[in-house]
Amino acid sequence: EKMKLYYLPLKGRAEPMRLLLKDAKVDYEYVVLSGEEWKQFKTNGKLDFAQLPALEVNGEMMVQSQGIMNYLGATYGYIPATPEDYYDAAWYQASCQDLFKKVADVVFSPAERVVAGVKDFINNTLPLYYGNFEKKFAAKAQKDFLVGGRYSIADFIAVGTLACAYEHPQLGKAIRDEAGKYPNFSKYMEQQLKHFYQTIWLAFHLNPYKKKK
Amino acid sequence: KEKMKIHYFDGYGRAEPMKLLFKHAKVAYEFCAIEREKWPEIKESGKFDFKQVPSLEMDGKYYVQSGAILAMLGLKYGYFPKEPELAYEVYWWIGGFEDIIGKAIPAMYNENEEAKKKAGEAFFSTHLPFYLGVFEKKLAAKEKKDFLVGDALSIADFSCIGLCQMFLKREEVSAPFGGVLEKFPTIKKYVDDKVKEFYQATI
Repeated sequence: EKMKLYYLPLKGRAEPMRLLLKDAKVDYEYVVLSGEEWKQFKTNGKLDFAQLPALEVNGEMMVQSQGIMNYLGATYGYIPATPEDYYDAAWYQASCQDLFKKVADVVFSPAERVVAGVKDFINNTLPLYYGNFEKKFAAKAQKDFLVGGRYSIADFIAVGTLACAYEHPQLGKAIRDEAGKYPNFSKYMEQQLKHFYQTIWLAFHLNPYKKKK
Repeated sequence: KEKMKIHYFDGYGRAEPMKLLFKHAKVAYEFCAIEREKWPEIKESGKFDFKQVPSLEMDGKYYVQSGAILAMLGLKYGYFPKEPELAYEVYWWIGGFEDIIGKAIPAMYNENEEAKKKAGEAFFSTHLPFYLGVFEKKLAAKEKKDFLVGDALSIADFSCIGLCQMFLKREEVSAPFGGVLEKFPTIKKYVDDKVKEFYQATI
């Protein structure tokens, strides 16, 4: 039976899982929930905690992104092999969990607050996170993947978390304007965005997450 | 080879799970206490990533984020299951513990006395019972009820007991926490047994 991924029609917290499943070439069903459907889904008794995304595997409902990523990582071979490499992956996971909230604040803010939100992000959030990502990443001999020289949960989490930031017209441009300060990590991100989303044009103009009638 | 060092404040906080792991694994380490008054200065010195402690010093490198450290040590010393379903369950528990801590923070650290009191009431009457109820159901359904995941100790167990000690060893919240815990017999027995086992005196 095919796996089912339940989420809203946006990248959000499900994007890391989608990128992993895309790389693993896994055929799964993406069940798009509207706001109203999500309200009903919360109370259907199948969820331990009323949270999205949820992954249904052989009748069992999994929740919590970190758990789901570890499950999929272990199933499809994306768990870093050494304790040190796993530490790095977990470090990126924790950082991106916090960073996502700050990205979401800007990406989902009403039009009149975007300019101030982007400015705050560039001045206060970006230097802290990208500063540390650059420090960690610059020390790596090979710079095509974050950890262990191959795709791991770290890559899907980082790219999946930040994709919606780069896709946002004002925030994406502002982040790209700062790329010179974080050359290695920025280059890695551009490489990965191209790899997963083919062209930015596609991301802007074909929203694959809209519900099909 | 130099001993590993944990840099943190004294007391039962975010370094407790890793201390319990080291003790169980019989791995010697050095605890370097940071004085609260000196913390602002040390924080700005740039010694710790993200200006955070606890930090683990190992072979000259500093590791931060207690969850990431615990996972690394779990893999290193055999407390992290590799099977997909069990790996998921480890984080099911740990995610729940993090949520509880998130709900407890406004009840423990709040400049506004009124808000602090309200958060405390909400925590002990609503949030904590909700989570313990979900945990009780999960653990009661297991065959082996003395391990949170599978049939061996994992970082989920160390996380759980570390969390409980945050409350049980804190005068203002120990009694209400114990009062809620008592209503969930499977979890209560598990916690009592593990606290006894993990903190027994080493010879």
